[in-house]
Amino acid sequence: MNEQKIIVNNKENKVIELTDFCDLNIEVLNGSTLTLKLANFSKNEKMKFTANVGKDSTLAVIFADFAQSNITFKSQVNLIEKGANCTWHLATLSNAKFEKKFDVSFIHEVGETTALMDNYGVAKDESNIVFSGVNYIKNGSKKSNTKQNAKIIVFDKDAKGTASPILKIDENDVQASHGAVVGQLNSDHMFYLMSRGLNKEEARMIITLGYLKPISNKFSEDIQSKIENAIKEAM
Amino acid sequence: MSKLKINDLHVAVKEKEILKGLTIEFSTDETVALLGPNGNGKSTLLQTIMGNPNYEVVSGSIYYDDKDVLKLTTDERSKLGIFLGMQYPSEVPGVNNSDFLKAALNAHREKPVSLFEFYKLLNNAYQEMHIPFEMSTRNLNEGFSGGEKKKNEILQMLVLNPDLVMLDEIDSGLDVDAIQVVASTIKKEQANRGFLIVSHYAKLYELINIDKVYVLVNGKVAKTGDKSLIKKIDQEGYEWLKDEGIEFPNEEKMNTTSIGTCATKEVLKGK
Repeated sequence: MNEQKIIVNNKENKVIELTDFCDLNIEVLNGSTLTLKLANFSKNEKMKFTANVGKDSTLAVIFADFAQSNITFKSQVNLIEKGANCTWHLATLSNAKFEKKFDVSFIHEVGETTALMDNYGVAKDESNIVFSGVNYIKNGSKKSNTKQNAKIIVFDKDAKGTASPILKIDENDVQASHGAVVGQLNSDHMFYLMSRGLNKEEARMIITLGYLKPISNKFSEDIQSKIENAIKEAM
Repeated sequence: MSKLKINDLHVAVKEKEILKGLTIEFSTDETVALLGPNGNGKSTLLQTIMGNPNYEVVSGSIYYDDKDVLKLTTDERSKLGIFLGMQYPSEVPGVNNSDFLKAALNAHREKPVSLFEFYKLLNNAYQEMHIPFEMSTRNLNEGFSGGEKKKNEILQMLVLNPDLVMLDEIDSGLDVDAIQVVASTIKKEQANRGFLIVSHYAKLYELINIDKVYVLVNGKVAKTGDKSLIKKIDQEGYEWLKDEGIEFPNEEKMNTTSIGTCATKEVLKGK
């Protein structure tokens, strides 16, 4: 599939929902806002995402990946002018022997720019999830705010998860934080739910839904039910 | 009426034996108070009955009527009618309180509950526990205060309607009003089900009917009695049991230096 280009300019406010994409090129400029809802159920193995966010503009990305395939996803969001914001929520579920790699980076080209990233993953069976990426605050980008949060639940003993967000900061007057957690299903949570009568599969299901569902609530109803089905199928 | 029979139960946590041959029996038409100093096996007993995998049963048996409880998974025990109100209820992120309760309720039934029936049941339970109904849409225990979590445990009991209810320090973290709410619900429910209640405070026990009192020391039942035993322990503690020949677990020597004492002085004293 060819590159898809989306430009939002001059104080426009747009919400776009896409289920078929593999190479996105986004521009959000001059006081505009774009909420981009991406739901991936396709078999595209290679995916690319680039965005430029300009003056007083906001790009909100909600990316739900429930495809049963390998994925190599690479994204770079450039915050090119003052007042540029990007919020990024990714939720992914991998099963079987699939390998899913998400490299998500943000470049603070100038000051007073914000990038807030939350990546969530559930790795089942013998699958593998890798979260990487760099949040880079360039020299002179004062009062920038950058946050990387990555969390992977490793469901089965042969499943793997790696989260390695990197911060690169060449300016002092900034806010930056990053956190990464890779862990197994919380056994206390399992016991608690099972003590109320849910069997092991039901308890696992309800915890996974609880973990991945907050993102699905952001989509339209038919995509929500598609997401729920995809989760059930993968479980 | 059902009977829970525990015989010569030995339970270890991380290879340390906590229950050391505990034998106890009670039925679902009585309320039993379980007392004892910290670390003597009260919570271990409750967690073991519910089937927490962190507690390893070394030997002994637990029967619920003719059912071998130790052969059942935790959810099967719940379906049998056993309920544990936990000391530290888990916060489960993203799991909606009412969705969870509905799933739990349906797990106990052959036919799924109708929306209307569920709403009525839930609404009554929230009213009874003096919890705002809006909280049903919040995530399970997430961001709840200590008292809210405990009240939410009793609320779950009301919805699931078990025959045997174990409550582990349900009164800790409750304010004066909340303890009244919890106690009056327990009192009302005593006619419908059996209770096994662990608490360190006489207050809760005073507000409900107690049929029997067991004191657990060193992983065994050290003393059995009626409500007057609670009063005695509340006033005198557990030390007097030693005079009766009850063996306490080996107390590890505590570090005598703490915040508030001058560490340097303590060290010099030791020289």
